[in-house]
Amino acid sequence: MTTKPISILLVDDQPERAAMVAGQLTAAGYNLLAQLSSAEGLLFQVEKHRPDIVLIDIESPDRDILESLSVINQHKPTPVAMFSARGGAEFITSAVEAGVSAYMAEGLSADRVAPAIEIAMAQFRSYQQLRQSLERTQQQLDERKVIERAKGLLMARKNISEQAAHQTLRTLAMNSNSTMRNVAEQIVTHLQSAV
Amino acid sequence: MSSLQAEKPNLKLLYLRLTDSAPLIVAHELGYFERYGLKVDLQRETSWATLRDKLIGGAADAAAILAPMPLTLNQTLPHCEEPLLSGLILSCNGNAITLSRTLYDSLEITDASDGSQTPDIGAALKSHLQSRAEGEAPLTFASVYPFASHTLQLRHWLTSAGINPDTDVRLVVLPPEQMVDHLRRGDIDGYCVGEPWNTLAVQEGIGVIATPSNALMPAMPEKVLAVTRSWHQANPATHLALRAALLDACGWLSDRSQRRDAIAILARPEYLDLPEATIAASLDDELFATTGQPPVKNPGWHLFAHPQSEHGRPTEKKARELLALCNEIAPTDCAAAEVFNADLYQQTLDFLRHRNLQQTLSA
Repeated sequence: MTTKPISILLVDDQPERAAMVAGQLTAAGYNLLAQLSSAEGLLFQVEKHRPDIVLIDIESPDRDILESLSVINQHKPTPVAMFSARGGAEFITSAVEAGVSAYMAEGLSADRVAPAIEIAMAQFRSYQQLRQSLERTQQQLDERKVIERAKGLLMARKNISEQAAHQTLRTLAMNSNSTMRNVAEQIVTHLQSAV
Repeated sequence: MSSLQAEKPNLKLLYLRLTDSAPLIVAHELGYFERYGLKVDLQRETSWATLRDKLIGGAADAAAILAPMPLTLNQTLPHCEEPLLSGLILSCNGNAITLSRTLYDSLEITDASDGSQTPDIGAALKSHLQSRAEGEAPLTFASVYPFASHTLQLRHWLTSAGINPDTDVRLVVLPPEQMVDHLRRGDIDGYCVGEPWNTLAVQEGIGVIATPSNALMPAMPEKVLAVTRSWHQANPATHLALRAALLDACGWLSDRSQRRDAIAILARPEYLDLPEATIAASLDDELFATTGQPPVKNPGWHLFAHPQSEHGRPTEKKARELLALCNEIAPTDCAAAEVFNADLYQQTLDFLRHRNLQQTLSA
């Protein structure tokens, strides 16, 4: 027995994330109808493709267009807001945390839709982690830069060694119950304005 | 028991950029939450659907939501097994219907110069629709949520004028704070939205207020405090403290002499982020229907809950009335009326009365 693959319309204004989600969905055998970066023309796209599922960022204000489709225009192909497929409250909570919302066509069983949403949730989450680790790396880079600058300034002003400058920063940080970064920033600001 | 042992003193509450989010904002700014041992974090959301999903998904503890929203959860989230409930109606009324300046001008309404007669905008719209050429794109009107008081008010207004809301015009849903921009761009021809987004369109010269919502359906429940049923079961004392704090804030707002302070708070960047003059209109019961014209009085534009009035009591009768109206949009379930919980409201009144009595005795 062969069943028609479930068709999906993806709306996401984050192109990298959209590519991740689309890639995984296609690999899992879903029929990705279209990938939209904004809800502009969403009504038209829904009417044209009649998707089984629409996947959209929970924060997107454009979701309201789907809300109006689902109830106000009863005679249209209607994606019905779908929330709890399996696992009840836990499923909802993790979808909200991941930032995924999904609308599905009437008559589709929630069990058939859930795996697609889970794929999107996993991709949304790993995108989030990717961004967080990028931000962390950037922060660490910034931190190293400012500490190096502070050390350089200390070495020049106080005529001390690199090791002594490092020691000074660490002692200052410990005594003021602060981080090396904060102390370094203060030193840079202070020594620069004192030119 | 004048003090409550809140199970969960640190709470996150959700609201939208609307004048009738005032009870939450005022309670936060004036220390009403602290009075009952709560520490509240307010989080502003953009759209009703997002707010609803976050509340049900447990990303927040409670929210100010549209009164019909918990009653029609089965229609919008048919697979959701987590019902919402409400023990406090925060406010009634607060909306209006606005038409784009372009549409209003094409209706060729002649204003009575002495203001003695209100022009029949609905009738003018009806004849305008009849005169439109076949094949012309339908006029589009926006509401804020499928099952919102706004949708009911818009449909009521259109129907009263002999216009079929399902076939003669197109109805769409947009977030409240995007209404004015969509009207300016010509994406929509009119909308029903909560204040201050009607007054703002008039002040910017792009809209004309056709009618305030209270002229259509007086004292219609508008915003309710909602929590999920499982949250209520886990945190009954916290829920009582929350209702008490918000009923105090609603009472404070009912006193018109406080409204000036309320306007100043609401206008701040972290809340509505709009000019005080825009927010002031509806809280002062002043309706600026047309740009440049003096306001007319619109008493009761916002009716906030008060221990001495019935506006705040969420009765099953009120729920059934809303459900009957929603039934015109899509079939609803009468059993849902029980999500309006009048017992919880009575519990709040009893608690506040007891607390006041104890304070008087110990004074």
